[in-house]
Amino acid sequence: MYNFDLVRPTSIDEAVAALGEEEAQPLGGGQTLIPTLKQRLAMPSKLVSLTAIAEMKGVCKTDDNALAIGGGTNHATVAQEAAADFPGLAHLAANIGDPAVRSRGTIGGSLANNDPSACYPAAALGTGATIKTNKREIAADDYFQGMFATALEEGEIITEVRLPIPEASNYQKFEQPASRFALVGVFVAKYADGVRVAVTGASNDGVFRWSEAEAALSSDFSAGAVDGLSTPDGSGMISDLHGSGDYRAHLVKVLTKRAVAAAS
Amino acid sequence: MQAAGWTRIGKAQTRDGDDLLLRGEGRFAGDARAEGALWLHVLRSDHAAGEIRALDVAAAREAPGVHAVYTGADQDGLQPFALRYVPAGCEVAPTPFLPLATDRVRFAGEPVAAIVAESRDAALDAAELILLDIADAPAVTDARAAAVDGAPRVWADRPNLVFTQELGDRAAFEEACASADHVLTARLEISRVAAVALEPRNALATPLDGGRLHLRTGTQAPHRVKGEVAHVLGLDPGRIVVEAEHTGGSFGMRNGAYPEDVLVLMAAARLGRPVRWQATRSDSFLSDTQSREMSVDATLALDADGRFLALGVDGYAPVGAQLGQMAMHPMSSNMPGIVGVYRTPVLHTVMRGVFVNTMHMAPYRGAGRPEAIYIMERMVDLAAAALGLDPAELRRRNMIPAAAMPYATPLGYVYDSGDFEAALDTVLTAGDWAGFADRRADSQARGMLRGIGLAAAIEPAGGGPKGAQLPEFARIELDASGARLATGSGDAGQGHGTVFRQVLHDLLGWDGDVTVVAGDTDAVPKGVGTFGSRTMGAAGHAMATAAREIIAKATAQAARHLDVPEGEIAFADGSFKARGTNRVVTLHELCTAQGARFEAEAFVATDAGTLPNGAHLAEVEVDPETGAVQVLSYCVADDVGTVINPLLVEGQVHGGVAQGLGQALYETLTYDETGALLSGSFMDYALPRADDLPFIAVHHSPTPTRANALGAKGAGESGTVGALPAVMNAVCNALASAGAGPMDMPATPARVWAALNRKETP
Repeated sequence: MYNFDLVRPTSIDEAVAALGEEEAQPLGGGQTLIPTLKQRLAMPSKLVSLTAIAEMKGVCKTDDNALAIGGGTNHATVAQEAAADFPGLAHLAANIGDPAVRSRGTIGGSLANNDPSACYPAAALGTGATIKTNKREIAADDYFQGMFATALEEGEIITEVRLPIPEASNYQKFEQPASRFALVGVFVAKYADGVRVAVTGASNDGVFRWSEAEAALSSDFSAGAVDGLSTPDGSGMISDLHGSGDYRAHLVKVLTKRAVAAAS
Repeated sequence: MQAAGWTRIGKAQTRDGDDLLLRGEGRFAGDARAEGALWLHVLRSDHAAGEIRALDVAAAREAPGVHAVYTGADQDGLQPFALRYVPAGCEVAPTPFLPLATDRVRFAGEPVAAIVAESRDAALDAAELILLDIADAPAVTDARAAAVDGAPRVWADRPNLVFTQELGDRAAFEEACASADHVLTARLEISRVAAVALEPRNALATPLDGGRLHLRTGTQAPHRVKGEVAHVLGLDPGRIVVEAEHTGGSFGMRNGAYPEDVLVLMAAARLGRPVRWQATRSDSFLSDTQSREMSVDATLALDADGRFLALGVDGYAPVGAQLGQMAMHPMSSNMPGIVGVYRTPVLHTVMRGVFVNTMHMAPYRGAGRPEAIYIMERMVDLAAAALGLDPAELRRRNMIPAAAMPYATPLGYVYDSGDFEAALDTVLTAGDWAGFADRRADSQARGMLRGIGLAAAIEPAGGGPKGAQLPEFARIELDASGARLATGSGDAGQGHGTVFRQVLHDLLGWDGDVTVVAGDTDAVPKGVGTFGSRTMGAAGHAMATAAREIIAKATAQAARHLDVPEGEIAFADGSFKARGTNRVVTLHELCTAQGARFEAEAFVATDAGTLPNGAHLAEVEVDPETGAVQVLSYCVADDVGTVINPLLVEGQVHGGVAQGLGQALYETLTYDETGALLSGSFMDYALPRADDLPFIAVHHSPTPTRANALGAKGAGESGTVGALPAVMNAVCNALASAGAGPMDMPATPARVWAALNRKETP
């Protein structure tokens, strides 16, 4: 690890100001950035920790039936506090990494990093969430822009994520055997006006919506409706030690079916 | 060889000293403090092959806090590492294996320079100032590919084929196949794995007064490390002290000296300061010895009744880029063992060791025995399927019966004891072999594939059943202050101290405290080490030998004390009794009340190793939609001879099964076409975790051996030996129920799915 300065602002305004300085970089729960620093793969001169900002923490239900989660809220907190209103999301949060990861990692950090194998991007895209930053509100459909790429600008911080609460939802993760990240993860959410299906882990372009499944499930929300679909094209999917693109494409269909069957 | 009067041997006891480890108070080499210690960082090649065109360390030498930077050009006076093992019947010249690369690099991860600085950060900063230019050359990491004419040569001046070891009678084998009713052939691929010790390797060298050097490191064989570093440094071994306290996993990977051990000693001697090196996990994946990989064509000939007539094996295995001390051992040392527990009159083996552009091989828990039993037991299952026979029945039909002991196998192993059929029956009952069809039907109803896999295992422990073994040292001292045992067989988590105390108690009837001294080459003058499941057979035998001398000496003392002739004294349960009288004195009283002091030492070898054996039964369920494999149940009937401590034996079996199951289902070291290690971290190298393992039921089936004074066979590796074939047989059995397979390890979800769908495996 190279030396760096660390600041821990206690308000969003202070954090934004600190991030305005040259080569400053935000630090959420550190579950990606700290290992990167330990390998000397990054060399920021200043890290702005977002973990001491009270206004960025917590989970609450909004008047329009969404769950509002502060960007600095860790996974363990979401697992606990979303359980009653949004069990599909609570279940997702409860199965990220291990207890140590869940008590450090944050939803804002996960979405800002947009790892192609992370779980939260599937929930955000699968619910049509709104990503609130210090500057603006971004619809999930506009936010994710490919592997590790998002609509965030330099110095922009995710302050809150609003996820509309579905009538039924479920997240199915098939774990990569070594890292236990999602080899493929599928989030299915049923709303009054239709069904959303978001897939993580599989595509070279990061999280995506499986529109054929959404259409089929919107008219018939049953595992059988997925059976009738052809498997997504594997040619644009990740192919590595742990599975070919075709295998991942196949898992997308299997997990979508299982998510629908398990949705509650 | 169960002796009357043993009261501690055979008792389950928890390990002494676990509380320290559980509280994080273990004393590993990384915990050792040394005033003014410098940090040594090893700069490694990130190319698998190529000439070093430029290596400029001038800026690094001038960097803040840097005391020295060594390259291949700074190794004056060093001797190459020596071979400790050459396959029987082969002549192999060593490679010029020095700690740092000289003209070329030959694998990714090869040490190129060593930076010694005030701190880790200073050393890492300096390493970034080194200009290293390697002319990238083609690399080869697969043994078969490397053995082909025209393959990139690892060493320009010698072919990649290092040795070809042929054992047995080729003509007899061919004749047996020609006249057999059934001849089965299969290509079997055994994957390459890493030991993955919990504690990464480390070394701390400290200059001592009088020109001696102290090396603190985690190792299973301090005396070996001492001899090997002395050899490479060109020093009299008397000038080196090696000390290990806690060692966080060894498994064969820590059974000798490494380049980094030499580098810290060289730096400490030249700089007059303590010097420390500590591997990261990334360093470990690149630079720990590797093991197991082989690709073999196996042939099993059977008669019409399914009796084995002949077994043939023709294979290739990588040795790595350098001939490390034991690089040629895992793939060649146990070829005679491939016949396993069966009467197989003819065995013919050809094994080739091949240079490849990777770190070199060394034994890893089992050292050639898991590979051997995997080959045999896969062939038995394939034969059972081909002949339409029950796999248990085919095994039973061919097993060497207990009444046939001692039994000589075709290539000269002599099995002295064992009841293989009894072990088989134990697991068939415990695992409800007969009820499998019903359980499979239940799984099918849920859309799952169920498989069951047997393995009958045997493994030469201690160094093989052929001939005299390596010796081990034990010194016993008794006096009023207590008992002390010094031995060369140290502990890396097995619980040696606990079982040594149990044994010493029963050998001497000594109830008092016992201090165990091991791991320090000054405190223990001689020794060999802990490997090959040899400790109870080797160190236990040395203890028994020394204990006999103690009793003889104490008998004389007791005779004087009781005022009777020595011939009138009988020793039992710690007491010397004058025959026909009620006059008794205990060994303890002689030491305490009489102030006697006894000591005896032995550095002895047994005439033969031992042959732990047993049967394993695994049951798995495969999800055909995802390829995921779950091990549902696992049971083992294990014959480790005299069971000193059943709890610790079970622990050894559990750990061994976990490592074998890990290889079968998850682990593999994978290289890309440039020779870069793809699975170089826990993000890509999959280890089994607690929630992957079923409850592992261990049934003790001891048949004590006469090979050593305790009747104990080895217990450290048998779990691994049986687990590879049992798990893979179960997976292949599940696949066969869907008309798919067989497949090679590892049975990862993607590979199982590919096998089920007949797609190319990743």
